Amino acid sequence: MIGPLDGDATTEGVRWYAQLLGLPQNDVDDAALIAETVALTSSLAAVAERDLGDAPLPLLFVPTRL
Amino acid sequence: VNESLARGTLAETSALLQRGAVSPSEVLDSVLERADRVNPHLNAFVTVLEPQARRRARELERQPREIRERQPLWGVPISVKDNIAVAGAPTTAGSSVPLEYARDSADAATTESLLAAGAIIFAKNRLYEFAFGNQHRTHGTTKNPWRLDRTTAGSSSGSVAAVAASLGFGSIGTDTGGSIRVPAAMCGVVGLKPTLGRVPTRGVVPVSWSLDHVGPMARTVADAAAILRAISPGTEPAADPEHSPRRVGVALDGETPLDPAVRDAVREACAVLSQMYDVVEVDLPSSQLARTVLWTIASAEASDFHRHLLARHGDLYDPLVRRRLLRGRLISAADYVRAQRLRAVLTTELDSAAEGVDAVVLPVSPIPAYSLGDRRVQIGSIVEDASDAVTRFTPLFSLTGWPALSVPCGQSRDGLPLGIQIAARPGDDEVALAVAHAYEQMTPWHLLRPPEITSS
Repeated sequence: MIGPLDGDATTEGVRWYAQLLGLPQNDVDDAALIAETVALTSSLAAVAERDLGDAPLPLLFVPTRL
Repeated sequence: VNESLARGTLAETSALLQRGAVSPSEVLDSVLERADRVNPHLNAFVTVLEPQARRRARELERQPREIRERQPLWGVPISVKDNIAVAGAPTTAGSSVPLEYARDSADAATTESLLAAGAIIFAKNRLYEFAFGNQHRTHGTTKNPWRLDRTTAGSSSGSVAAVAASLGFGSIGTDTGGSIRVPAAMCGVVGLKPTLGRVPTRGVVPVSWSLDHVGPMARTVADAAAILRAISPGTEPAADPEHSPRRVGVALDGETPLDPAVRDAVREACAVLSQMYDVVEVDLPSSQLARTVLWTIASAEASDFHRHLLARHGDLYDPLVRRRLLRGRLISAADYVRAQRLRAVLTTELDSAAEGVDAVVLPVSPIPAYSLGDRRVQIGSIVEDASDAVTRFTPLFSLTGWPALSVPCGQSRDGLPLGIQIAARPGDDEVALAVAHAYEQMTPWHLLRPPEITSS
């Protein structure tokens, strides 16, 4: 099984992306927001491709809006 | 009006209604009178739909007996979380942000099903803003009926407070990562997240299209099951004696930090279950990974729904909700795809971990209800964000679509309710309910009620 995660996304990378999206300067400078995003995405990035096996992209549109 | 009528279970009250011992108006009066007295202390409702509910009760009373007998919730007052559309009432989703839904006059699919089953929708419940963070400061805080200085948790805050305090016989909530199960555990009621897709989400203000579930909360497992069947018409499985549960897997690894009272209560619950089932240990996939994957998917999907609302009305959002939505904007497509692939991995891992068992049992939350206003909590030597802590064990079943419910299983040292989570494979809602019902019948916890709130 895949265990707890750790990763390597950078604060500067996320800040750059926030600027690219045109988020207001206050939000781009919100250190806690940027840090949370780094923590979330870097932990996903840390999963090795081999641990994903042949996991496909699952069917996204489940029949919940009947 | 006899207020004790409001304090019965749905099954008891339904039986009285069906045999004509009480009328829908009498039951409704009892609930409304109690709500009038108790709700100011709890803040469980956004709107009490008194005129509509009274009209509905009188309409039901004019129906011929053969029609009422076919309606399983005939005359039963039920509340609905205020992110589910009810024609003729605004839907705020717990926010001051102006929503199209607020003007929508069409019933949600669940509302239609409740009405077709004969229910009286008498109120709309408070919730965390957009079911995605906190209760908005301008909407007030819902209090836990067991102790008014404690949280109900969320996001279905008003629903569980109402059910626990006997303000209605059940409520409909939504659960994206634990929003039915966690508050149900905190307030000592039964809360079911059904199989993903079993209950349609049409007419629900979305959090995350691929993760949102609609489900019931009630004071007993049988009552929750009755509401589930009513809101998922056409999906009730035939009774299958070959499929009755025999083996239950317990996931209580000894390393995960838990409040000692929670650990003791789950162990005692397993001892009770072992009198009816083969109980074996199972090792579930990483709850930390599940939580990370869920937050990535939910944040990204939610941020798309709120893209224009946030740009126009950003200042109307609660700061925490706003930040979570902004975080979703910063998640790249590649990260979203990776999270969905990990979701597939977790689904496979859960299937393997649960091989040979019919249901799995684990805590709902590692702690009982914490103090209102606390943002961080301590479990053993670990201090962490309160909302992260209480949703440690719920995301796995949201991601994988497994039905899972919270059932009362004990009390903390200071008298706060605790819950165990019982989950089964997708489509096996009735299996999870059967294990929960069998457990409930062997224990006294569902019979406990919060201290009566007096008007002083």
